[in-house]
Amino acid sequence: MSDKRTMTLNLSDAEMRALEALCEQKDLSKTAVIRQALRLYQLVDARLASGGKLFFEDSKKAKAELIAL
Amino acid sequence: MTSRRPTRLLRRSDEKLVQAEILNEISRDEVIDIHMDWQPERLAALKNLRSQGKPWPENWHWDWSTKADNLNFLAYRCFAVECEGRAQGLMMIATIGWRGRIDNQIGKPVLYIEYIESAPWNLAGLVETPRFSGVGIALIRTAIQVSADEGFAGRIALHSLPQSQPFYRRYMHDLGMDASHGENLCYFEMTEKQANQFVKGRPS
Amino acid sequence: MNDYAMSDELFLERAREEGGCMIGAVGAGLAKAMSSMAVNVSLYEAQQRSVQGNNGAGQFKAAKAK
Repeated sequence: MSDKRTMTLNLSDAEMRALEALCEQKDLSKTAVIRQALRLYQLVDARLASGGKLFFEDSKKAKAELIAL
Repeated sequence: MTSRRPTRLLRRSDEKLVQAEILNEISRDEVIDIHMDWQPERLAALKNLRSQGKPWPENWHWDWSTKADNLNFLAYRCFAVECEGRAQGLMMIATIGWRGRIDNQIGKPVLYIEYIESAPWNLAGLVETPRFSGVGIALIRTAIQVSADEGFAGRIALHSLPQSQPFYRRYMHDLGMDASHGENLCYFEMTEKQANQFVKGRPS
Repeated sequence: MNDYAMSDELFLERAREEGGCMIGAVGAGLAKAMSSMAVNVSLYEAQQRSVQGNNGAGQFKAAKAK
């Protein structure tokens, strides 16, 4: 990994709780979760921008279109 | 930006370890360049196979121009092993989108190996005597290290082509044919413990 | 952070196990692309036969239980 830069992130209590819950669930540090989120956001946003659509499929295989980012 | 880390390969002509380098985070254009470098020898080897009456796939090639576009995204990274001035192997990884399937790591992120390949002159079956061995070992070790750097504790996963399954079965859990992804491919997953065994040695 | 360094001795052992057979893994996306191009896996099967022929059937040991 190339050199890293440090930043301060301001989160509300609820946002921090959500972040901590994800850290616990995924066994990741806060930094790792935020980096994962950024990668996913970038990828999905680029695909949507190029005309793709994002779907979630439920357990009955029914598709519902998700909101655009 | 591409950086380099030392590694080694096994030179088959004299069975000696030689210095090599892992090229980290190579660019889309570099990936394309590597495949252009490999192409003549790949084609020559395939012609040779055909002249010997051995089976060979008529349309065997990777759609690299498309696949390399993934490198525009943070989620994908590519690594190469270089020795004697040429790329000896190539690997693309994804750091999002894959979660563990084995009991003790269900739901935890794993580093997924999208693609891994040795140069054609290192492949038994394409050439009589492969030039180098250990390309896969060096790249898998790199994948484990990146997984750890990402906070994934060395967990990695991949879908293996049939020919390579015995190789991966040595070091990873074989979860069998994966109907949800790919065709005729087995899914393999490496745990943190297996990652440590891979690089430190395993009790026999 | 864990450093996954590997000794020369172990690398040598692993590299010999690998032989020339390490062609790789393929992601789901690539697999679909190969399928749509009517690519078959005969090459890989041919490679496996070749490696076994060159190096003996013991090239790959049976999978060990993890």
